[in-house]
Amino acid sequence: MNVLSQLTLRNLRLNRRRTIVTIIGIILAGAMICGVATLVASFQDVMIRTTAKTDGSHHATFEQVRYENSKYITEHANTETSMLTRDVGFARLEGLSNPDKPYLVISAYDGPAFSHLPVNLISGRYPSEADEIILAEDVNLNGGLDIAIDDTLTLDVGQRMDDGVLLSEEPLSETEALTSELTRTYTVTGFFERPWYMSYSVPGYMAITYLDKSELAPDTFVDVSITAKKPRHIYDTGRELVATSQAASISYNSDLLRWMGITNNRELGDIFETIGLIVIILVVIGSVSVIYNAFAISVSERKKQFGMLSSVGATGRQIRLMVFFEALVLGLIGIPVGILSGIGGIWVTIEVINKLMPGSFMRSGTELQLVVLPSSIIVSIVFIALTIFLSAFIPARRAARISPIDAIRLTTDIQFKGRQLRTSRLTRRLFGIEGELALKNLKRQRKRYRATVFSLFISIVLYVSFSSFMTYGFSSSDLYYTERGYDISVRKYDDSTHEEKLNLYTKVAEMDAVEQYAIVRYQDLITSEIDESMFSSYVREQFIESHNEELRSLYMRYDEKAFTHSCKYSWCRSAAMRLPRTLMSCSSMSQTIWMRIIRAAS
Amino acid sequence: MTILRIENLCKVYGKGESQVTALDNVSFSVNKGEFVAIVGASGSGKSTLLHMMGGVDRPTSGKVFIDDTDIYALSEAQLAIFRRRQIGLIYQFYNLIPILNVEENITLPLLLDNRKVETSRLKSIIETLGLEGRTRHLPNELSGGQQQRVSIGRALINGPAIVLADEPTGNLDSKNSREILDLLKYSNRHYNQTLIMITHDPGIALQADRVITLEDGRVIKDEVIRR
Ligand SMILES: Nc1ncnc2c1ncn2[C@@H]1O[C@H](COP(=O)(O)OP(=O)(O)OP(=O)(O)O)[C@@H](O)[C@H]1O
Ligand SMILES: [Mg+2]
Repeated sequence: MNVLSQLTLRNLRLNRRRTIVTIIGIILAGAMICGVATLVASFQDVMIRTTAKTDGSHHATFEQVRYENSKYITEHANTETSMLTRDVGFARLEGLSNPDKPYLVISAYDGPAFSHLPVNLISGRYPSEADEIILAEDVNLNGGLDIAIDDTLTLDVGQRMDDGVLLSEEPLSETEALTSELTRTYTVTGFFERPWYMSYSVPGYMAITYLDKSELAPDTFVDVSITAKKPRHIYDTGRELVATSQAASISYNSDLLRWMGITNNRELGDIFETIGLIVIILVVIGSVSVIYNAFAISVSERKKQFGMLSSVGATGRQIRLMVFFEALVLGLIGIPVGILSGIGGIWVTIEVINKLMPGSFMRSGTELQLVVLPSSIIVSIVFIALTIFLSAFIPARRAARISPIDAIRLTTDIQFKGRQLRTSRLTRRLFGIEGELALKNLKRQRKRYRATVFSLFISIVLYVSFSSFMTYGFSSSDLYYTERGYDISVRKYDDSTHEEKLNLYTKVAEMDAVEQYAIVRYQDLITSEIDESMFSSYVREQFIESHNEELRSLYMRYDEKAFTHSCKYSWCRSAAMRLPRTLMSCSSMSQTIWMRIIRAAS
Repeated sequence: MTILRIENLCKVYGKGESQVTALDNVSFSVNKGEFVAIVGASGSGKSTLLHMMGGVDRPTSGKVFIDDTDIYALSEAQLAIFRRRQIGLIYQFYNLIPILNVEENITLPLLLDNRKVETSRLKSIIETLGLEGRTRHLPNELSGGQQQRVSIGRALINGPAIVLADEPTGNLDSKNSREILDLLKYSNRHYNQTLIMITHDPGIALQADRVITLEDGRVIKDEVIRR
């Protein structure tokens, strides 16, 4: 090792306190950057897992594809897994007690579809033969039946026809009848959770059988879902495949894709990555000012040393390298410790979150898990190294510019001009000579004093912005992704009038058990009356892009009070943050009203 | 043979009212192997002149040639390397690096050049300086005289073109002063080392080959005492 490196190491050892403070600064910066990166990755991971569970882990679904054309999709270069599903039809099930729901709504899934689409088995197993079937659990719970695994059901499957019109999910009509397509005996192999996307107004219970490809005619319409090898290109692949396969439409699993950082809208990118980057840049700016001060003080205290070295012939380059070597040594100690403590900190955070809400993150049964990506570590190293380099850059240049003559004249390292030390006569009169000396001393050390205050200030700003970011991050994801905060939801499902419904809710509200309630109104709006420009840019980017031409309606949720006060369009903006995360296709212009019992006495 | 040539050297400090002309058109030259003493009243510009010759501060105008190199025509980095190899500076207050030991301080100019230290040469220098057994000590563990010897060792280690000393004995008692002076004279006699030394002591000045007297930044006397 050359003499200047040795000199640097000795300086670091001699100024142990400052060295430690600087390393702590680097550790903090590293911990914050790595912490943010890890937190973002862990959040992204849990959101992806949660969304995969609720919405499925497929990336896109091509609807109404002729079976003979499905090969274009399944054999495409970007297709990783493909799954076939098909709406088989409706079958009347004897003994159902709910008069509005006399049917089983039967779909057929192939093997991959069961494992990728959101079918959450409660008991039993998935069907593996065309004469096996699983049922939504509400066929027993709501339909009042007592079907068990291994029971057999013989069903006449057909389509709902009402006066020559084919019905699909519309509520039961009095004049409808089922066509007869096939009769089959199914063995029940299991039960699954009623899927959230199944509307309550559908006049039946969901049932899924196994899709046997050998039974499919070339012109049978199927739905093909895929996961892509390169999910980033799914939107391009989708467009291309809709054309080649002549699919009626395509729908993307856009929530999942969004969490994976893939959107149709390039500018939007991954919101979490963006926020993460902003925080990281904030941390870099803050840390630069703290670490920079450490280097600046270190250099100014060694002014004489640098001047002496220069007078015996050290070049500016050699002196600059000395400061950078100091930075390197501090970084080599600080960066690994910082990264490890960042990861450790997030690990503790995640453990605490999981302890506080065990297994119930976002109400989906998924748990936050610590995800340490190599890229998080690389990003951290790059940013901290950058931080240290930026911090050392100016002090290094300053050190290199110290001329030997400066050092020769210096006896100690503190240099000042008489003018800077002038104190007013008032000081002397007020505080006496002691006060004057104290003030002079403070002024003499002004630079260091300022540096200390500045570092403190920056640390506080960093702390506050970081913690408010965390709070904001958590509360806003609460707003978007959960509808918590109530115990029971009461809804009157019939054609009664608005007033009748309101009466019922008021009666429920008067019950002793209800401690607090809210009456909620959904409004379903038709696009012909809504224009994109009425929405805030957030809604436009988040919702309208991903459903572009399919935008038919928006569900808005209000507190009843808010509703009566809402003026013509302004709610579009104010309610933007409260938009439920999925837009459903519209049936008609309608209003629904129900109540939520926020707190019920146990 | 001329080793140092100074042409119309001027140095002005400050601006306007507080302007001080520290050097006013100084010209002279020094031959290789000469031992020159510079004397003058306090504030006459001796140290300023020495710094100009040592390439540690830039003149306002005029030129300094060492070994036919116009040192202020060099870039900052080239000048640093030139200082390292061709100039030995000795100060009144030693100016050693406090956290390097004796040996490291002496060999610093070589180490900065990434050159190997010849052990035999180093040993003989340390013996000449009377610093045997002290090579691992830090400067603040040495007496003033010993520290000054270290700085002489540092000045001589590279075999520079000129050695410049600014009151090297100003801080020492008479015994130490004599020993330091003897060391410098020894290097001058035995290695033909060019030596320029500032002194306040007329007795020391008289041991030189030549005495230059400064007053208000001007050379007012330049007398050769012996050849
Ligand atoms: N950095 C500076 N700024 C302003 N004036 C200076 C500076 N350095 C030296 N001077 C002035 O230049 C003149 C010459 O100073 P110099 O140090 O060369 O004197 P000197 O002959 O070495 O004196 P001494 O014997 O006391 O060491 C003096 O008047 C001094 O005040
Ligand atoms: Mg002087």
